[in-house]
Amino acid sequence: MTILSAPARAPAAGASPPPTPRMPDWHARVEAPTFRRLIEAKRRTIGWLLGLSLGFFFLTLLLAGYARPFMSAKAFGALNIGYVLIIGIYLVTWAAALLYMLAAHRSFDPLAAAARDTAMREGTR
Amino acid sequence: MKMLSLAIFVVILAVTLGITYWAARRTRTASDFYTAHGNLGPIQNGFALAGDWMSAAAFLGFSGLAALYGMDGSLYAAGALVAFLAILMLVAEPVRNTGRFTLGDVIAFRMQRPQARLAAVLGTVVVSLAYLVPQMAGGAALIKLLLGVPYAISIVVVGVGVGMLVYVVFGGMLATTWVQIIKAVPLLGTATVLVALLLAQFGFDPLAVFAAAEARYGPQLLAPGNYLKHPLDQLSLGLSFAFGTAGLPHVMTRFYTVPDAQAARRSAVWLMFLAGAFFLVTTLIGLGSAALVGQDVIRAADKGGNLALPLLAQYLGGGPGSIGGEIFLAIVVAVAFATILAVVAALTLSTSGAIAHDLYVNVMRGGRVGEREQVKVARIATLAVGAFAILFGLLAQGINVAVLVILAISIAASANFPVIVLSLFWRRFNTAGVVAGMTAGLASSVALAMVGPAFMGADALFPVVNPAIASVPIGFLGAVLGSLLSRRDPVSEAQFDEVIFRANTGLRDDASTGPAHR
Repeated sequence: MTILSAPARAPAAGASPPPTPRMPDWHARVEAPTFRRLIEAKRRTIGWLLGLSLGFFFLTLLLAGYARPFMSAKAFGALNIGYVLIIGIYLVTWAAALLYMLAAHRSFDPLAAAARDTAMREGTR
Repeated sequence: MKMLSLAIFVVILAVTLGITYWAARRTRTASDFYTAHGNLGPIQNGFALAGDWMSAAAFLGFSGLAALYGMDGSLYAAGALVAFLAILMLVAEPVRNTGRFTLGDVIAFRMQRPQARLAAVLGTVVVSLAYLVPQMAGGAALIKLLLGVPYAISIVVVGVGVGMLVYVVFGGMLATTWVQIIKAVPLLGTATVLVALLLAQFGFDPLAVFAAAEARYGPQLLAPGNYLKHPLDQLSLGLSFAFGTAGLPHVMTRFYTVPDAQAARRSAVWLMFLAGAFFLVTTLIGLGSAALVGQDVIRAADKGGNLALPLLAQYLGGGPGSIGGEIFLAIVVAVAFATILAVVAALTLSTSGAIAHDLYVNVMRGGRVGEREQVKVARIATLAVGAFAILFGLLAQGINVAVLVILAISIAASANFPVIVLSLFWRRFNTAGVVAGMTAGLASSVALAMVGPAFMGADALFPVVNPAIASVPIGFLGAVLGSLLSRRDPVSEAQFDEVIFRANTGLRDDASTGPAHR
């Protein structure tokens, strides 16, 4: 389990790369369309989900710091606006978690499987 | 009545020790010691994670903060749930797909330089120790106050410390995992019973609990700012939770106990619902305690409000001195104590893991250490960490426990989180960046906390209790500048392709240019 350094990448000009049958070309794998599709899907979905849910959380915290009278104003019976927002944080967070699971199951997992298949089929260089 | 509490303690301890010995007989390899065979199901792992995360700080601390300070306490609790969003979506699965036992492995896989691993070990050890000490102090305070132990706190702390050692030295991850699961169940059960009894007093209308607390202490109780006075305090607290949890090694190692990324994902979601529901009701419990038991009584028992929940249990059982009250109190205290013990065990495990696996095996011995010796070194490291914890637990007498816990999370957010995230997502990141980021994050978070209101009170040089709002950006800045201002590292950039491919697809059984992993 010694730590190896990666092999040099650029061969001498005019020479063909020495065959290394067991060394996968990770760069090619990462450039493959199947993998790129996976990354795009993840970026889009996670960007929105995380952005909105964390955004809601931080907004509530900012209000709790800079708009304290507003947060103390009554909303439902004894609940003030602040507590309504806090309950909202729980609901938004749980919803985001479930939506992520859905997206992962429907989209990321199949795309990841496709990327793996491509990688294994193209083999190594 | 103290004998009753003592008896319940002994029973719970005996049960958990029994589990430990059972698990110890099944721990042979280093893999077992650290990852419990790597075969836990998502529901089990979700419960174990919940057990870990619902520490005494949550159980006692959040309800206490809510009882004395209202909304600020509820924000602490909400933060603890939001903490897992970034983990779920950014970190849990990639880390499971690339690492072996510890966070140090992820960084080493990418950088392949001993300095990087060393920096990771430092970050892990500092955070874990910072988190461990308040748990010890909390456990000691609990026993001292509730069992009326007349001896110095130090003896109690030693008792807690020794108990913790026994768990981990003999059991490893398998034992602590099962302890967490077994403990999570009565913890959630007790909370459920407590909430049910509380609501029964108010006609099963949760809003009536809020109304009662307000009636007794005025609407200011329910407003923000009673504890976190500076306007940036709440935001800084949220930043710590949102990003620091991904940098808590003892939580992240729990994602290696499952066989694959999907299971890691599912266990994180289970955790979010289990612990989340628990955190939600700590507000109800705290406000109920304020309304029924009264803030004076709560403060008299413990200045920080840490006993609000047990006192409510006592009240609902029939009040102090009544049989029902004392029994319910004893059960709650025993569960809280088991909670602390289990978390302390998990912390010791991940800290000794970083020292044994990352520092000794990889940095000092270049990875050439046999399995049996690895397990032996792991156990020695565990004893060393335990000794340190006992020593600092003794020195931590009288220091506010919650402050230390949040400090640990802030350190994790400032030092560990930037390094992990940039290792997983930025091609240009190199070893110099790891070292610079870790140093900047550690130094700024610790220094700013030391000169903040927590340690310096009204004379504080830095106005915010939580350094995260400054130290997280500083950590990222250090990591980014360190990378940009140093030579490009072709190894790290070449590794990046392999890291992101594996992290995102979970590809295995393939030739790897990095350290071998299972």
